[in-house]
Amino acid sequence: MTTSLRLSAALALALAATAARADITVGVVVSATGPAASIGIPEKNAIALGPSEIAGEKVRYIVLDDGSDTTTAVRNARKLSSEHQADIVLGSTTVPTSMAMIDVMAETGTPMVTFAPALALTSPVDDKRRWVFKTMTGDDHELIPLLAHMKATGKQRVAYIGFADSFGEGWLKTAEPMLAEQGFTLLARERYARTDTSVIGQVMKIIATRPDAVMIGASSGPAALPVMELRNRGYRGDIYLALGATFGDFVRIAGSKAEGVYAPISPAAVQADFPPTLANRDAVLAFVEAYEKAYGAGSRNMFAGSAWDAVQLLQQAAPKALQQAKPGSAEFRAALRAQIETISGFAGARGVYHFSPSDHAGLDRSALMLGRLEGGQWRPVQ
Amino acid sequence: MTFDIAILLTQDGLTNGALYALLALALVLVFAVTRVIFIPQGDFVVLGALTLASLQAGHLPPTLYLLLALGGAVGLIDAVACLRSGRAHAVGRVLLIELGYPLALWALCHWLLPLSQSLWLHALLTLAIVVPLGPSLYRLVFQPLAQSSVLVLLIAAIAVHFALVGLNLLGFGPEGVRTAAFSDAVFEIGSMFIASQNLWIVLVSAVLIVALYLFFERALYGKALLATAFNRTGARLVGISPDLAGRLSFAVAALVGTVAGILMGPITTLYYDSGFLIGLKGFVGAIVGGLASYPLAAGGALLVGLLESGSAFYASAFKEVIVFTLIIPVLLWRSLKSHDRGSEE
Repeated sequence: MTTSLRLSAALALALAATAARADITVGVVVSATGPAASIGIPEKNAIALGPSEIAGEKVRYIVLDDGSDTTTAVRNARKLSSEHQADIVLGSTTVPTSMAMIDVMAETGTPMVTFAPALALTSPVDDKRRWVFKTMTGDDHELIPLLAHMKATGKQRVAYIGFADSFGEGWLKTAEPMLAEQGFTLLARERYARTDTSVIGQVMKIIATRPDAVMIGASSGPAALPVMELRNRGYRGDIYLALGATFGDFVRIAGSKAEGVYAPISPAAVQADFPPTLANRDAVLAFVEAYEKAYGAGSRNMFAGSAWDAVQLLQQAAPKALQQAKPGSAEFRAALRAQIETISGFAGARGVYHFSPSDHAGLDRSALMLGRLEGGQWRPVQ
Repeated sequence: MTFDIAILLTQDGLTNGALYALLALALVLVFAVTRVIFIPQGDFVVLGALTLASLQAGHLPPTLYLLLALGGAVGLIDAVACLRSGRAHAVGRVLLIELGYPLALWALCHWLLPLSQSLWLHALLTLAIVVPLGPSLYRLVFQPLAQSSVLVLLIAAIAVHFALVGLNLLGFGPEGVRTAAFSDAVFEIGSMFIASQNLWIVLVSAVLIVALYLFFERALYGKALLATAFNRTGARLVGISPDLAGRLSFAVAALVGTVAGILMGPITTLYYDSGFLIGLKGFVGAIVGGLASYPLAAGGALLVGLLESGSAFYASAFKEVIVFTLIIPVLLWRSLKSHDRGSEE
């Protein structure tokens, strides 16, 4: 083979590669390993169920793992933009990793749909955050069903105990104005560390204020500690937990002591029948059917629901964006962003989405419902 | 604060304080004999609790693999040392002890686990599995460094701590465990309720402390340890092997840590990485004793426990801050009282 022949062959190959770029490229960053792996893996699983074709265009998914690490997440985001010319990036799993990716997304003008909860990721919608959307509920979503139930059951005096870190503080900060607005009195604000071995002091102080209800801003296994201590010390009132208690180790560790506690739950994670009046009932059923067909009965969870919805949003926005520009171009990315922003009233697995130029958090107030722990299972309260 | 609450907080503080006191004593002992600030002390607590939990769940604890791996490594090093010094006949015996023990224990666990659910049996098996890790770690990590400075030994101890935390995560997973209680009984004295688990903790801690005292005062090995702690060179001159003293002190530290873990398991949820903070609180107690005095260290640890439960009640957001700030006035007072003993080494 002569040199010129070789060169022209290489050129032809390169051209072919460019031509193939007309596919829609979906970059995905999830924390499939590291501390957030138990959340990242179901998200990855849900992405794997995404469509291979949207409006006649092939869809290419490039899934990268950030190992729950901020630096890796940023590197992955950059790689997806520069090497793969991603038209949209889905992820990442945690608040810090997602937060770190925003700069890259804004710089390259790529829309991003994160699965992380913090409101600060999408609010306020400024020059950078106009590229960011999210499909996960925030602290305010969690508190709405809890406060509604407290109100309905005539509670007034409330005590709080939660993590002495950003999780607990964020929850309390969201709760305080909502409680005040609805006329509740907050009697005690107690903190404990995830690694604490005893909360007797905090619990005694709470019991001494004789509250009608205790709210616990904690997640997973460590959320069990105050619940068990409250019950051990003879507290009989209602206990309200954060969404974080509905997954992870909470039920296993707290055991029968946690029977009857309340927490917000997502329809996408509920194993029992949910009310037929649920606005996104059909969307949840579609998600559950597809996900459990692929990953086994009972495997449904809200994290997979969030990732599933991110793909759904793309599926809604892409056909109109395709009319305006070709995939792989900056114009297409901008069109995609603008189209997602116009999605309103769309029912997904996690709830009904209402995006607007001033609201990129999307999910409406009814995205979570009240759950009660009965026989070791979270069941919706009708 | 009412009288009832004060009693409860004191009870909680004394219970935790008793556990911290055990750890503080072990820290003082290890430091006195080997000059190692034993950061992994808390990890032995976790190893004890997690091993007991997996035995109670009917699994073979992953700690057995660790024991086997460490035993193999120690056996290998000792065998090579034997060959080098021309004692080839001792190789078989060394390997038999270092590898035979874990394997025998393995078989024993296999045989006993399905047979009995007795808490005492499980606790004994836990001790048999976890305690030998102490001397093995000393042999592998600290014995080759025995002549190094306190700083080098501290760095090695931190390395061991991180290795153990990583191995705990690998072996036991990130889930927290709570072991079955020794007994669920609650005693009522007047208006006071005392959980029997708390009594157990205080009693066992007291017994262990007395046993340690008798060991140092009466037993030959205990006296050898004490002699090494007082004067390493002198002890060596009268024929006490510093290596043996080191291994022995690590065995005592591992025993104390494991017992603390077995006691703590039922009253709290322990995770693979809970050990560090627990050990650190014992360390604060040991510092009160200047890493030298046993009674002061035990008293300091009790103080830490009481301070912890008190501050959890009054200012829960600042609990750890208050507990660890205790170390500052103590250090100030000690530095005024004594003349720079740290840089002696």
